[in-house]
Amino acid sequence: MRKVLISMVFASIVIFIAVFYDLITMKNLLLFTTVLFLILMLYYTLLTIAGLYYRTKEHKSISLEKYPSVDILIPAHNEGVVLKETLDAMVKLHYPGELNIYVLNDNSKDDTSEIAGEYDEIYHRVHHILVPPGEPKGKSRVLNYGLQISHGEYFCVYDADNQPEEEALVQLVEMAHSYTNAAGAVGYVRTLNERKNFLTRMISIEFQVFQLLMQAGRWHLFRTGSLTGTNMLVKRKVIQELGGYDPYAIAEDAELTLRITQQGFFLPIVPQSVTWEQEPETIQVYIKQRTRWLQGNLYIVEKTLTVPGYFKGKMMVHSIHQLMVYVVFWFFLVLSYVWFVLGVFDLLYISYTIPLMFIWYVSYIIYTTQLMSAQAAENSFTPRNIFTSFIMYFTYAQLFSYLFVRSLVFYIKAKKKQQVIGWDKTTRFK
Amino acid sequence: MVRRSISIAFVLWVFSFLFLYNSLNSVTDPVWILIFLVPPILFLVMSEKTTFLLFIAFTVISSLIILGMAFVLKWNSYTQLEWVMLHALVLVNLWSVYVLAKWSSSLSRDNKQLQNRVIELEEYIADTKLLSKREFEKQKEIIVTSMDRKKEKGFLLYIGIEKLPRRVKQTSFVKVSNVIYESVRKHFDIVGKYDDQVIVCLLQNTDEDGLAIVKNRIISRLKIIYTPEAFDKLQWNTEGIGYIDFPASKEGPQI
Repeated sequence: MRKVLISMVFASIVIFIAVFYDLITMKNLLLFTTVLFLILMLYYTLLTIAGLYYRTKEHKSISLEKYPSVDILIPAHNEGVVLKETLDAMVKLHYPGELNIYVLNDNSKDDTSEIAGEYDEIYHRVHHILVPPGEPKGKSRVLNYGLQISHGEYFCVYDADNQPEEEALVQLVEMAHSYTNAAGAVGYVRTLNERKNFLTRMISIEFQVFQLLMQAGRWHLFRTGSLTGTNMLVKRKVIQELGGYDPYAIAEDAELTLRITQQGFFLPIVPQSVTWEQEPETIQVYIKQRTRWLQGNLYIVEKTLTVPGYFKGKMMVHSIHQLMVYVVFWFFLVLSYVWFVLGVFDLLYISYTIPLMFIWYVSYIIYTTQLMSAQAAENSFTPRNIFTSFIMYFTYAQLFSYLFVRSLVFYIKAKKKQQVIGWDKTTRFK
Repeated sequence: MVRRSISIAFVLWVFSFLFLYNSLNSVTDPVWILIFLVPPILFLVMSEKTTFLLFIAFTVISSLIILGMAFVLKWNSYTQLEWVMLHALVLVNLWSVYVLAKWSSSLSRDNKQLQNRVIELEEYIADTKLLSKREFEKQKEIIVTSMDRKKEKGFLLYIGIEKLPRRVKQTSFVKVSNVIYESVRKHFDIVGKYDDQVIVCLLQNTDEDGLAIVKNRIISRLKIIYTPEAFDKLQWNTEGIGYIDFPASKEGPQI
């Protein structure tokens, strides 16, 4: 990570010197950033349209002669608040083959054991597993333990606050089986508590956009999908070949996606396989959760830049995306803030005519169009959602800069002290 | 809720149209402004998917074209702001129409679904003592099973009004239904709707003589209501049920 930062600072200094000595004119620099920004916008517009097409087209139903055995892994650390509803949904799952549901109890201190134990006693399919204590703490280690004690042909991960729909699993399996080179399949995550407040509503819309652009659009255009951490099915053989989860990865799903893609496998997207998930209801919980996610993504950026082989074949789509969002986009975002502040205090004045105001307007329009498209695909248009979409750019989207800086500072601090970044559990709500 | 949303969208659409008319009136022929009345028609006529894709394409392409113009013509901030406002106004206009069309069509779709659901759940047909098709089939199944077990026989009697003139069909359906209902054993036999033009009656634990008695009772009452010409247009059919199978259609009345 330090290398990345040093490179960025070095690049900034080089650019500054080049501009100062007229090697690069300010106008050309502006034009270059504008073109780069426009390419990003066009790319996301393309993904939106492809995603819309994929989401709205009819998907043929597939039926298998024999359904493979599947293990559901549910990492659970103090999940008493939500576990009953989760297990209720799990036992309702319709699956014609052998199915085992493992609640991986990671040293819970609340009533998780009691609830999981009760379901274990009643249902054949449910197994309450006590995960031995160990380091590093986190979901990856728990999942690796789950993989050790289970034997199914496939495994499917659900977070402990998830309520999959009855057909969710069977649809994942059918899709994974219909592609020879598929490592598994990825379903759709919807927000259970969308109507709770503006924050949950915004998260829900953001998730819908993610499913539409990153998942449906990218799958349709590039035949590549990303694991979502929950409602995701993977072949046991594939993860065994990859050596299991990376226990140091905080965004274990994104990290595993890269390794799966690197091996030449792909992950089909199944929009009709739906799970309902609880999202943070307070800003504090949200910041904590997103800081963890961003730190996980910084870890992947570091791997992308330091481990060879991350820019080959389909891996390039994922790697470029990581770099674009977490390096290039953020660099220009910070640059624009600095520029704005210097302009306000009259410290920097640029007289070149570039329609910056209209560029800003176009980016707002494209961003809002993506939010609306996601709602059109999901049929979730309501006056409140439309209003939320219009204000999201000025509110929710702006949180990204703060979260990124926060995550970056924590990440660098941890690296400096050679500490392992801890895995924070997201607080659940009743 | 939806009604309020539609009202908001409608007000937005009217206001944005008036603003557009006012803004563009001085620079272009008013006939061109009427082009903004075309999208509502398109949104209502075309499929939801096509409409939305076109809409998205228009939003993105139009904003990029204007951005290109801004680059080429080197617009100053004021000109850019003017175009931003104009483009935003056009989008508000289109969005409100799109939302109006979408909500209206979803309302009508929901309404149709609900109507079908109500029909499915209704026990009796409105204005008559007739059981709904679903309820009739449900009760018929129980009665026939019980008849089989008790070794009883019975009949299904179908009366069709298909050949009656279109205008009198609605009243005739009610009249014939009521006559049949009045002519059978109320706590024993059941009367139901077979389809929009046929009424069916299940007579349990009876033979041909019993069937003839009921039939004659119905005929005499119908003859009081209908002229001989109209009465001749009524169609009759019977089907044996229960312990002994009678040679008749199993798929419905051969009226």
